[in-house]
Amino acid sequence: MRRLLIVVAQCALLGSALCATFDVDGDLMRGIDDTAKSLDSDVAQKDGKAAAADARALVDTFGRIESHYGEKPETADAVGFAHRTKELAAQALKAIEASDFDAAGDAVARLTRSCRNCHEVYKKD
Amino acid sequence: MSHSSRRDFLGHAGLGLGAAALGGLGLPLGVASAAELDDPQAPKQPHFPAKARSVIWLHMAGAPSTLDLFDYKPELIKLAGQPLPDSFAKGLKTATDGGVGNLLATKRTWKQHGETGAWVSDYLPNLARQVDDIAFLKGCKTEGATHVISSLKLHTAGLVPGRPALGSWVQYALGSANPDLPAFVVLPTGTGAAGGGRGAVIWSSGFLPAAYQGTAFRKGDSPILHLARPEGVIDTEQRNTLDLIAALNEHGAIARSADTELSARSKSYELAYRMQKSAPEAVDLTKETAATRELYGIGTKETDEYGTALLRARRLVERNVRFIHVISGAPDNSVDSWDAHNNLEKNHAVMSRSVDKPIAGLLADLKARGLLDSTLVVWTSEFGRTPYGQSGNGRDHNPWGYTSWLAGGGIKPGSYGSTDEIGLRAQAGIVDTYDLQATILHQLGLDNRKVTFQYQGRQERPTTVFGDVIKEIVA
Repeated sequence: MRRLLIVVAQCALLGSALCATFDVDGDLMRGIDDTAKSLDSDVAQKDGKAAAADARALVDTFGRIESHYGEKPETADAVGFAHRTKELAAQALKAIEASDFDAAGDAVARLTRSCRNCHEVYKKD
Repeated sequence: MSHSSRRDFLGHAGLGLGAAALGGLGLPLGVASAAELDDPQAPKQPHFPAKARSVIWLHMAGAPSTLDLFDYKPELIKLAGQPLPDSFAKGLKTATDGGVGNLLATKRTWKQHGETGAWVSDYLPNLARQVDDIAFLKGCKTEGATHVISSLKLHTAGLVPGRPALGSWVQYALGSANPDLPAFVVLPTGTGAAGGGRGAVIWSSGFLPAAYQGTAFRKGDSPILHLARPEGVIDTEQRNTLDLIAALNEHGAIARSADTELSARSKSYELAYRMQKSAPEAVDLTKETAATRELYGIGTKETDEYGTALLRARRLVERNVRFIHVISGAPDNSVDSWDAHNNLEKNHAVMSRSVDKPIAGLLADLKARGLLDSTLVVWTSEFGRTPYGQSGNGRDHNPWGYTSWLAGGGIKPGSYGSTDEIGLRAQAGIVDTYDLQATILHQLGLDNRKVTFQYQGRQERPTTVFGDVIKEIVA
């Protein structure tokens, strides 16, 4: 149920993003944070179906962030961060689909590290 | 005896002592599930060979200014009295209740020490002689700007209460190496709780079973509340009572072979009984030589309490206690804690004097006894303090850049990381609290990503989804 609510919330978030301006704001970041934690847990529990859904949501979201910053020349490094993180989510997804949960776990660890690296530049405070 | 009447009997007759002792141990009666109570202290194997067997976690509550202890900044001295340059403050939300004062130079005398050449101010003359055993992490950072939030993050990896302390995770992952003592002991010191972030929530077991929470030792001969046998009850009577309870429980267990809670309850009664002897003995410093007590500053007013706590910590290490959390406190009423928003010179003189000799003594004593190799000593705080002033002669909270250090337990001495030229923000070798926690777990033979506990449908980890081992300081 909890996962369903998260997925519904993600869909709502992504759906609203399609028909409105895509805002990279606190709400989006909290959604990403929650999805990353869910993905991490799903990988640890070897729940391939749920993990794949989370990984796909992250691939999609970071793709949108990459596009969002791509329109702003002054934030070129943010494009790089978003691209790298999207690639890591894609690596995690590929490993999950191959049922290689060790590799998926490594990719998720690199993904969360990438999140932290980005926030070294784009401070949340 | 019927099931209900037996419970009534236990509730009214034999449970009092056991309940009191369990309260000290932190085991809630009738709360944890059967599985959780199935011998939670049983020793478990690490993921890989451990470098350290025990951790002594020196929590400098209130947050010392490492700019006045370890992080020498000549540029700050040059710029003293000027407003904080925008180039340093970019991206930081610096304004707090106290505002942002002009840059404040350290008034200390600085010198490099030992073969590693570590900078230590004259606040810590004794510790300065031990620097060759220390790995300084000079690029530490955290989140939050209040003691409570940042202390929670330092100890539990969470910003709100509810997550387990690192010591609880260690106990959960490794169990106890001494069946007669708690594996996670807390030694609070000081006259008050000023500064925040030092209450029981930072040694809570959070969502882990309550058996894993830290056990706070009190000062004095009887370290655990209600542990001593009540007046008027002799050992034989207590033993007979416990034997009767054990016999009744064994009888009851015949028909309830799957009831691990009953088994665990019986074990906890016996642990409490054993601790009546083992805990006071563990903290009995009369067995230490005068030279050892002097080494820790015991007998001198300024250092007596903290030195006593650290000598207790060493004795607990010798008894294979896994995690000892020592919380610094003010030695007298002249200051509250390290939290020097004003009059930093006076504050840090008092606080430094109270910990300097005891910590240096601890390191020297552990080394002389061959225990430093297997004991990881961690010196840290919830955050540091700002290079800009507050109240004219104090410093505000600084979560962006400060120093922590580790010694022993397979750690390579030296200096790792740095802050910027004025000591405001970590700029190289950045170590977040998650990384510090991951490194400690690593030295204990644990992979922070493989220590998991399912809670509310998720696999939770000690360092959440973050935490990288600081490989550069691992020997």
